[in-house]
Amino acid sequence: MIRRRRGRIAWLTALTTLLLPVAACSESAAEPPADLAAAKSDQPFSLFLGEELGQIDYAQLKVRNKCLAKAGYPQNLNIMLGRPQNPFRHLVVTARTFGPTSAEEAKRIGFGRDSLAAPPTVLSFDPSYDKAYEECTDSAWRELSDDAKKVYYGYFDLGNKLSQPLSGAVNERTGATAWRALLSCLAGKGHRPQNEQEFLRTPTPALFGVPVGVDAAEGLDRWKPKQVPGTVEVGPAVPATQYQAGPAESALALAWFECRRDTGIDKQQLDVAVQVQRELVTKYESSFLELNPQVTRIAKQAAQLIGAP
Amino acid sequence: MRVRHVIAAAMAGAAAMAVGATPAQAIDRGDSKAACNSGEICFQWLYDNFSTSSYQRHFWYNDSNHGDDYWSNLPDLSPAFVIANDAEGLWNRDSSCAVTLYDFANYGTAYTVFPRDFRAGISPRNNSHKRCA
Repeated sequence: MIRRRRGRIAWLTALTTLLLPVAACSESAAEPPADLAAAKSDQPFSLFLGEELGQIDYAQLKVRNKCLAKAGYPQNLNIMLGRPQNPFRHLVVTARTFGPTSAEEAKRIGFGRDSLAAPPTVLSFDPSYDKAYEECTDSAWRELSDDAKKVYYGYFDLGNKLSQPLSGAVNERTGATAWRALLSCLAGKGHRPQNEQEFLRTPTPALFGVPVGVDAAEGLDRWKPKQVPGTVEVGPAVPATQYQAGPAESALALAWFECRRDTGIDKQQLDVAVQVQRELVTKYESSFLELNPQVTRIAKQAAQLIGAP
Repeated sequence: MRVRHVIAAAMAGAAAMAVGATPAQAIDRGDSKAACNSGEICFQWLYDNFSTSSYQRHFWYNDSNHGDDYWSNLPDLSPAFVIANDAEGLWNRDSSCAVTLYDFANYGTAYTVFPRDFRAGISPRNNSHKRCA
């Protein structure tokens, strides 16, 4: 374990050494240096500045919504969340990413997740609102900085380039032998997938005929607005919910946890996930070097603009 | 991809041969209108920058299972089929939230996060979606 950790640190140090001179060349005088210290963790994806992206998003929303309120449409400002939110929380890869990490967790939450609160949806049936929305959106981006909009969308693109291949690559590299061992262990506890070949292609607990991860907040999607022309309508807010697994999901999750632990797949998957993250960070290092300083700068400007700490 | 376009053309042009009704329009969880309107999360079967209106599906909130959501805004008598793993375009017009697409139903395995006020083609891997995830 210590050797593996040293290996990771050595790799990250090498990457940092490799990247720093290039970063220094690519920065403008006003740009803060690329913060590659984040690479010192065991999670190469921690180089991705999801929290800062959330701050930019939140500040643009706030400025835009104040502009809308000034134009006579306070609905968006009234329903804003109280703080920024990292839109790429799933890029923080932990043991929990791959299933429950203890028997207690398996019994309570199974394969589900507690949900964060979300603001209500705001629907427009008013062309004047739509016009104000476009104008306020554009002016809010400009108020942040000339390049804020471009950097914001560019960073979402980078996040998706990291996100999209991750799960498939980890599953594939963990290997059919490991997944067969897991299946054998699960079968010994009375759990068999509906289609073994499909499981070997896509190893997910969703293939065991048990409802897993069903959202407690489900049902809001049935809400319908009145759709009166010339109005702006606000839907119901989405409350934070604590997930509670049903008995069948709890039983499968407990077996899943025990079998992953007993076959060693839990550690194997985490190691593979670190390797895959490293490769993706290397693949997109020029994007990190270009965008991270810009995201850092704009996030700082955004916080100042809205008076956030 | 080409096959899908041919199928789409055949569906639009040969409505008399189509087999299904359009139950999707009755259960659309967006406004069932052709356009992707402000506040909606809109999926499109064959992505053309949302310049045409058929085979779209609009939502106002999360949806945990695209396997029971049918394309709407269909030409008359065109067959209805579900959007799961079959959407090639997304336009997020939610005014507050980025939208996360998941590989599996019930928000299993986040795949793509779509920012606000953004439309683009997507890889057809979508079985559920969530706002401000």
